[in-house]
Amino acid sequence: MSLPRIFRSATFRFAGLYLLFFTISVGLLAVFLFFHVRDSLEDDARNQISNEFNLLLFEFHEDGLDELLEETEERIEKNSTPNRLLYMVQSPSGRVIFDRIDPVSPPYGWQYITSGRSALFYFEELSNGYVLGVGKDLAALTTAERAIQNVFLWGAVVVLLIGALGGFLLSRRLLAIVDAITRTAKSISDGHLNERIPLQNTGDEFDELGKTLNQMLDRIELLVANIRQVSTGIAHDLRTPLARLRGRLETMRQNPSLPADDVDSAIAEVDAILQTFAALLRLAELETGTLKAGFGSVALKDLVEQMVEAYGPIAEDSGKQLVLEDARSVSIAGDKNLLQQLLANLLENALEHGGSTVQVSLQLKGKTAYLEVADNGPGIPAEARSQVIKPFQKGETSHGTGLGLALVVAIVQLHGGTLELADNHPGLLCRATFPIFEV
Amino acid sequence: MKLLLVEDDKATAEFIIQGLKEQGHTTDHAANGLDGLMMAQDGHYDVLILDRMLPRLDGLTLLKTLRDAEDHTPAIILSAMGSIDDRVTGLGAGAEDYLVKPFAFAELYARICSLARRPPIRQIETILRVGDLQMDLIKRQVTRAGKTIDLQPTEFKLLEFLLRHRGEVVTRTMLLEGVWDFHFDPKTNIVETHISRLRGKVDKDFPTSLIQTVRGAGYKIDVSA
Repeated sequence: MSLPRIFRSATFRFAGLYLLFFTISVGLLAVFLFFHVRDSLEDDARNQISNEFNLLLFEFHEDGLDELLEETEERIEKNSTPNRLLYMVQSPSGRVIFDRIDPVSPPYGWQYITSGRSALFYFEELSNGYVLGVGKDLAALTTAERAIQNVFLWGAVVVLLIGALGGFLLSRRLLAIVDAITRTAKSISDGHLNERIPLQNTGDEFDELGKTLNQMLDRIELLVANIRQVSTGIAHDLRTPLARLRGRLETMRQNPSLPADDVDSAIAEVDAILQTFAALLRLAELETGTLKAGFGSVALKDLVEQMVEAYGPIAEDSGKQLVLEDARSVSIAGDKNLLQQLLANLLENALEHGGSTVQVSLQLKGKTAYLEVADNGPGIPAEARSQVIKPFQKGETSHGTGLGLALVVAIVQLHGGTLELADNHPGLLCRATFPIFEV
Repeated sequence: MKLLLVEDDKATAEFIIQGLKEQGHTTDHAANGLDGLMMAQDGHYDVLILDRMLPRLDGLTLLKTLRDAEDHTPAIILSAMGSIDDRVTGLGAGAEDYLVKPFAFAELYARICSLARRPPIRQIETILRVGDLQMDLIKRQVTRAGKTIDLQPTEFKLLEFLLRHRGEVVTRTMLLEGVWDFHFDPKTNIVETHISRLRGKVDKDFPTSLIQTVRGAGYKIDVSA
């Protein structure tokens, strides 16, 4: 299992989406917590500042400015921690004492000081024109903010890593189950109808799915077996009396008192019925797809050359030309006999209905082999082309069973390919394509 | 030839036995698989003709049982089933030949003769001869009365097949299977056309014809009677 494949898997996408929502909710939580903590820290600071300010204001009202200054100095000396409250007194001339900050001007009240240091202050003008300010450094607040940010940043990284790992493990397990089902389905469509999806016997949804699919496959296998049995039954029950009839006719032929020509034409009629019969049974056999199980590697080039050699003299005898244009060395997975029959049908059609020249070519483009049989005869009108490939549909001049092209289509489809009828300007171009599988 | 026919269908059995009798051969007949197996084990037959679908024991199992017991009497399977799978399993069971019903008697007879004459261990022949015609399989060269004859690859294969069955009748279907490896019935006269080409090269300029047409059956290569 390659890594890119797992990233393309549906489960991984689900895991990713889930991870995204999870990360967003964690982020929202972080933002909420961040603002909540900041607000409450700031509220604390404001309360502290207000209380202190009121105490000092009380001092001032009771004992005057000197007492205020003394008390303030005492407080600064008593508490020298960096986290202590900040104090300032500004004279009416604008001079600032204690914790030096830039002079302030009205309106007073709550202010954020940013120049020099970052702090929150409360200012108020005293009755003598002096301004008293109490503040708190915001560094502590910023440290708390940063701590929260860090916790959530690292938290997000860990969440993402664990989520991705979880997604990977989850999708690998699910992919393994889906892969097993895909492999089985592929094997079945290749003709191995007895394949079944392996079950884990855990009783979970996947096991249920596997069980249900297996039941369906049992049913399909039974139906295919029934079809085969019915065809075999038809073959046996109808061919045997026909065989007897043919035998009787052959015996009658030895009798000199009977007209030999009539008996011969009766034998020919029986043979024609049997031929249609054989073609129908072959068609049914092809459509079950079970023949795929016997596929081997077929060298198409050799096969095409042999067929052209086999049919060349027939073309010449009827004054036509059979030309092998281009034959690339191509091997496909297939059944040699069926491919021979396919080409035989195409060549016979072209020689019977086509013009003076029949061209055969075998080309390779990418991973597809193109087998073309083209004639320069009257061709088939575009609207009739899809009709002639159906069973028992034939051109007006055809004397065949009407199953020739239907057989060709069935054989091509069994090999995973396509058949296309096109205009050869003039004439008919039959193009069969076959996928080439790497061995 | 001494032949054993295991066939449950009365009319088909009569048709075959009658035909073989006319050719001067005696045929033992069993109407079911078990009788057939016992007769095959007791008697010494040149060729076994086995129907595939038989009561009590089917033809393939019968043949497998014989082969397991080291009985290698040549056998031809007759079957109403003509599917590709059936032919493969038929030959896989140890049959030398497989013929789909219905068939012309001449077809069956030619195949029986071919099986009966098949030597137990085929010696490797490098030169095939009939009359003054000679085929060198190593040099891929054909001469008649000392004159070299140029043959196309297919014509060479066709002549080789005829020579390997010299003196025997080979049918159109046998040729299609043996020379072209075709296991279906083409609409066109592939065999007739190629035989006529081969005749043009092998027989036309010589006083006697070696390739003979056997009416209603097929062809035979032999020194003219």
